Amino acid sequence: MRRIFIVVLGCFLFCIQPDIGQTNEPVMVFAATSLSEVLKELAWEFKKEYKVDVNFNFGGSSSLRVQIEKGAPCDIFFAADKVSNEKLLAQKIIVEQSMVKLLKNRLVVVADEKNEEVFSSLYDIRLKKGDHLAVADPQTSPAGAYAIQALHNAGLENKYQPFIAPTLDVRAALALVQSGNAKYAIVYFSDTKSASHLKMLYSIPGRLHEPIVYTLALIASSPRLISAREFLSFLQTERSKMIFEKYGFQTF
Amino acid sequence: MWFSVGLSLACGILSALLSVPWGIFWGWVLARKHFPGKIILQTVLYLPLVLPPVLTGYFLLLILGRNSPIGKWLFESLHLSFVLDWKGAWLASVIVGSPFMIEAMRQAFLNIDERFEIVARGLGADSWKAFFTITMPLARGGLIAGFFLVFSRSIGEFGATIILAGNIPLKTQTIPLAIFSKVYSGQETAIWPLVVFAVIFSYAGLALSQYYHNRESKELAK
Repeated sequence: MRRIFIVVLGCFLFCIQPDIGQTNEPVMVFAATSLSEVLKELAWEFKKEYKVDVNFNFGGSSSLRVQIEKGAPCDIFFAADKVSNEKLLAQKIIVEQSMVKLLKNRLVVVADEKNEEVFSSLYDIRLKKGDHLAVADPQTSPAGAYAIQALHNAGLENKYQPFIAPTLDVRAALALVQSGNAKYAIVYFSDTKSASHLKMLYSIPGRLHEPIVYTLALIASSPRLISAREFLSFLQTERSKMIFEKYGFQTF
Repeated sequence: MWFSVGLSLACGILSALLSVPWGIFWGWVLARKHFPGKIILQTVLYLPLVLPPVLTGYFLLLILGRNSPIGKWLFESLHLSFVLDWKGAWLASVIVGSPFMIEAMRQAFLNIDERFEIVARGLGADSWKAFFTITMPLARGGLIAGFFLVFSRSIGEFGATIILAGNIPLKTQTIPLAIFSKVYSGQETAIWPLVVFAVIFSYAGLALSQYYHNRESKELAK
């Protein structure tokens, strides 16, 4: 019995590692879900050049902001809006000079690939009882907030309210359409680039919502400021911008 | 907030009610019948107890989704949809909670001497009459204990619900889903009323279940 106890204790002690400030520690990036594919490719390119790993925590930008406010270990925050970073700036959590507007995106209405409808405006959305319009939860994801804003400005928010299915993030909205459980979803144009079994029905005019601007910034308390800064500048190079454009984003 | 409280309460009561016939049937089969493969059946029936609820929800979504034959048929001919609907929250609770009822009934039936039924039948009652006049009244404590246990489990149901029914405010958002959304979007002060209700419901359900369980054990000991 005592021997077992010592072995178990040993296992626990083994898990506790002293925190040594290594130079090649991976950079931790909190990023909007819509960036998941493109950032993975960029991280791979970055690693080839700088020999530093980049780890990610993807999610809705507002929920990521809440995690950062609670002190989650993060070096760079890459949000799908301006507000999230501005809120962190007001609390001096991010480094003001590091904040950059990097990307633009637009919203589209998507449906299953078998959908034959032809769209010329948002008014062509046809929903009957039991149908769903999937959007990211506006409380946690800017994608949903922009989508609701567009519906509101088109005067359709109240009409479609009973059909709206808010999802955890923008990719979950896309997944609901792909699985056939929602008739339409409003997602970013860039999300459709890496998704299959989808038909893009309509591109929502940018005048219906505030500009979709992705901002990124350094977290002031980051213990890896040097490599974090390197990754931040790497993301702003012409080469990175070409990769962003390949994935359907527009750059500044 | 009141919607979530009401939905959780309704799902809890309806799940517990639906699991009554289900639990009596399987509890009786498992307590009284012996057949090859019984252990397999028993494990399958109890599997939702230990399976990640998210997986249970995903299986239900595969079976009942709009692209599956069953889900399609239910929607097109009966206009019945469990996906992204409050009925999905109910069904998820039933599937995840019903093993508690089956186990409660199995235990109750095992504790009842089968000879009572045999005597009743010998005195001229048919099997159904013997079951409802002799066995069920004796198993009442187990039934009530199981009822409240399923209710309590239903109040805590999260994983299967969020996959099958989604997290739609004023439609499928039960107390745990509302708490999740509020924590996730940083509205932490708004969770406390929900926390109070969640604790009250769970505590009351569990306490009642324990009370009836203990009472039944005492009666049997007499």
